Amino acid sequence: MAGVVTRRLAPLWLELAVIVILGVGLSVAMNMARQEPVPWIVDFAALDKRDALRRGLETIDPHAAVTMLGKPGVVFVDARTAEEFSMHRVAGAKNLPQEAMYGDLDAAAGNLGLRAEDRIVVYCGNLLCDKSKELGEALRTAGFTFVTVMPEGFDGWLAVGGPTEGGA
Amino acid sequence: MRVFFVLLRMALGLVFLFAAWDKIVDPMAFAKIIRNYQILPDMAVSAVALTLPWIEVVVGMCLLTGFVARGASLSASLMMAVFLAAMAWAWHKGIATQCGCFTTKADDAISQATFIRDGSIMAVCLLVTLDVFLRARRAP
Repeated sequence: MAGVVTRRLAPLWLELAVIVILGVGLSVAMNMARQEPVPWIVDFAALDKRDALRRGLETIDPHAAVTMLGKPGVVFVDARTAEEFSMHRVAGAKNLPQEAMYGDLDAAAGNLGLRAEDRIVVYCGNLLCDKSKELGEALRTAGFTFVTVMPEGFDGWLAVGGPTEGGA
Repeated sequence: MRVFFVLLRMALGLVFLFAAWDKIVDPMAFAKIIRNYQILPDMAVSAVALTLPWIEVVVGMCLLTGFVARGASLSASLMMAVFLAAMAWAWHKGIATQCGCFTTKADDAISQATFIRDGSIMAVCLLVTLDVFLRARRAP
């Protein structure tokens, strides 16, 4: 019986192996043929950090950010739209939509009660969005010294089980 | 009936080829989407983003031509199961990420529609797999 099963399965595994070998082989060959081959191992966290540093900002991962929530002088700023913010947000966060950087940012930040000495943690939706970095850079330029960005955004916060409010 | 299943298998092949195109053109955008699912470690993301679309191409070509059809249909079903599971995980965790199923552009966010679409493709995959395996079994 085992022999029959083996004989039946062996060609199937061979078929699967052919598919995987062809797929991997093609991906290696085509990547080498690119004008700028994509690295097979990319340290995305380091990329985020470099991008933020280029803008004069520090980064923080969601695990570390959770431990900062509620500490004196720490303010979480949500760079998403008012609509997104109203639906679900980091507990106690303040909404400063990224679009505010195109207007009177000082006034908008003042209305939220942000002070120059506050430790501001800016976030947006997820790793795909750059709003937090753009707003963080604008806040730094506007004189807020301690601006930190959480590149993983609200999705990263959710993934580590950070406290939220206004959940749908 | 046989013609119907052959056409179904070929259509599925075209779907896989179509799905692979955008990811091959912009692997870094696809890598960012994979990373945003927060399932794989960062170190594995780029390799998966580079390899997965080409496996889709091979599976698509095999389904289209009938070459190693059992392996191709089974691979297609397994891939769709993994994609659906990843989407369900992101949905459950409240991660509002892009699906990364057919495009790397920002117009394919995970939603009920993506579940229905991919669930339908999965159903077709299972039908084709069943048909291919039954035919292989009946073959002398």
